[in-house]
Amino acid sequence: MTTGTGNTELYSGLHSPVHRLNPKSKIVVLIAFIVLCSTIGSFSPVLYGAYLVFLTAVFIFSGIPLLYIIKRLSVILFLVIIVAGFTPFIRHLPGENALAVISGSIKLYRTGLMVFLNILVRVCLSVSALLILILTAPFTELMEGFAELKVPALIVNIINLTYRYLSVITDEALRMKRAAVSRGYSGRWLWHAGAVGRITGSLFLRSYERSERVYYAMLSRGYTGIMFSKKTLPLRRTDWFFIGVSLFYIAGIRLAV
Amino acid sequence: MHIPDGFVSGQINAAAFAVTAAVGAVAVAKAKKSLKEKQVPLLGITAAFVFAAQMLNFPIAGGTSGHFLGALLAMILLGPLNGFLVMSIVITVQCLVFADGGITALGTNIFNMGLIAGLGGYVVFRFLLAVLPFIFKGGTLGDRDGKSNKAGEVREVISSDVSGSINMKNPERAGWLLPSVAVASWFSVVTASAFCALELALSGTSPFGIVFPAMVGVHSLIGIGEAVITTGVVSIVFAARPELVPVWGKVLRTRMGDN
Amino acid sequence: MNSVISVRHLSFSYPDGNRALKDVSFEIDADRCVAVIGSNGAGKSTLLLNLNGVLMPEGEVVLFGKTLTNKTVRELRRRIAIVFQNPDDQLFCSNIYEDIAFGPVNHGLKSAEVDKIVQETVKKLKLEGLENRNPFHLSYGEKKRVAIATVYSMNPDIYCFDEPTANLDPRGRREIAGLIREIGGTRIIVTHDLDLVKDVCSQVIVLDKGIKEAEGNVNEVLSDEKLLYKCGLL
Repeated sequence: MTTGTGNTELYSGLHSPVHRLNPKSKIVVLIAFIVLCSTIGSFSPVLYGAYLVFLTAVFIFSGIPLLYIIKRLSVILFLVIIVAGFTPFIRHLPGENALAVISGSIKLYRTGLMVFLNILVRVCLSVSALLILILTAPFTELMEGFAELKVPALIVNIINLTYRYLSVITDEALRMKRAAVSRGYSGRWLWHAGAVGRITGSLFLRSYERSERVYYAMLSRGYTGIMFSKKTLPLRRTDWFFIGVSLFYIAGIRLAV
Repeated sequence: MHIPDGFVSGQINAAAFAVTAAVGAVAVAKAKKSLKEKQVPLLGITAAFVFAAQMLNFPIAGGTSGHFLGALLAMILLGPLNGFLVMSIVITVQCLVFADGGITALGTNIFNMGLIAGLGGYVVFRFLLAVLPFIFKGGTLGDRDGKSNKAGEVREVISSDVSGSINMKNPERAGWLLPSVAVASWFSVVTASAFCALELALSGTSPFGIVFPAMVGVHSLIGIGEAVITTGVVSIVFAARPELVPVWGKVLRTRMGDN
Repeated sequence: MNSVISVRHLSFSYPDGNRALKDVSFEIDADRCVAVIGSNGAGKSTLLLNLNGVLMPEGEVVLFGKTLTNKTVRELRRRIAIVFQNPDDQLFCSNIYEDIAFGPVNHGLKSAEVDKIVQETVKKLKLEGLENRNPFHLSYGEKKRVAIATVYSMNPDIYCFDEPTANLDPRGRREIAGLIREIGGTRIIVTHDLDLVKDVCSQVIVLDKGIKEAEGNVNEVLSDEKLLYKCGLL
């Protein structure tokens, strides 16, 4: 049940007004948005309409191509249908009349349909917000933002290293897989998992050895536990404006409706 | 099994977040205390490894494919708390780099794949390792365990035995390590999927009677792939560099102590 | 005596029992460029890690008249820098700036000083415009130069290069050789690239299976075909 992966660093180098915001302010606002949006208990057109307006505004100022968001949402849509698609036909209040009878015992209920719609809309809005967050800042700046928001430095350092070596080790894995394919591995049968096991085993050994060499390289340059020079980015007036207006709007409407 | 935002109710996400944050805090404190400096490159790069390993899909049935989870593997190779940290980092990076899994569901995803699949699987693994020799003692398979071996000797047997290939057909020679790994890793994936289904059902997102059998059914198949891969990795690492994994020395000594 | 490195009876075994170096002794004078040559697995890279105490050797390593011990290791390590073979191992930060700043930051310099040092290093090694790039997006030759920059910024007294020309195309090789010459000072080059040795080194130490087989003037050693053949270098 994976929602698909894509290269999100594609658009992090753009220079839109949203890109220029301090990562901290984007983290605070968009995570608040996701928390508030994903916990809406019942379908409310007014509330979702207001949230859609907010997110659309942020999206328009972000310069991200609409097509990319739609592509990612279509994968999510598929997932919503698989996971929640049965609900409209099953979930109903005791004694509730069916909206429609599809065939025989399969009936469509209003209660279930509303639950499904609610999930569908809140998932799409939340996922779009998350996409906007990670597409409008380079990953390392995002992590600096999290570090300034008091996420433990140890965790941030490890995550930065993971990010640094992600592409290096993934490349290594794909090279090994290609070598296996050239020797007849097709990946068509379950027992080919054995070949994947062997590839993964050597990949672990190589990764472990690399971590030793990286550690030596760090020690050689005087490593004592400090990983990077943190340059604190101050929040500017536009950041405070963005945080203030956004939080007021998304929290205010949630409370009012 | 990566749940996006909005699928699971706020209460469940909050509860799972609280639990995983508590375990995470313990793991971070421990990592800080023991070998703090060396830990950073080791955990960072093995997290990248788990990430890469998850990209190697394997086919299951009817055109669908499952991918490796690696939770139990991380626990066995790095120890339970470090393994938990690595899984948490993998899941966080997947969320923040690829929007794979939600940010409010981060606690829930780490709960399922780090705590249940990882630590839960590890408990099963240690339990099997302790119990299997007892069950089969005196049976046709138990000869090896009757002899008084030193841990080093068992390790030698395993190293020379598996050298590069998976050997589940020879449990009496390879000891109970690989069978325990296999069963526990199947179990870890299936249990995690069961929890995932439970959370979706409790949130009212999907009816329990449909989501539970579907998730558990599919993951019983995916679990076979998980078991094959995990066993393969463990046997290869054990054969090539047994000294890398201090946990195993302890495990085997405990096992021998049980006999 | 103006030897800046003196190694006496150095031996090293890895935890798995593999004995990488056996009773190696040599002296290196200031401002010399010395090659350590030998086939794969001869112990060359291990020797470098022993010199800066990342791996603690048996025997004695004396740098600038001070014996390498757990007490002196931090001070001495700042003065002897290693450029590792694989730049992906050396460039572990998320951008070039942080990587070049890593050494100075860890040696306790203030951020204003660090910034100045990074600017100077970038200029000296002609890396302008790469500061904010992720190492993954650089060419191999660029990565090699950045790897050198990450130790140049520490202003060390001794440079050690582990296989500096491995995997480089001819132009990259020429650039790195030029850079090694330009940096000057005391340099140790671990390699089996004999052309590079002829190019930049004056003294040669030959290692084979962890044992020092020969030592001497570059022309002398490189003309001894029998020795080179025996050590897997020809």
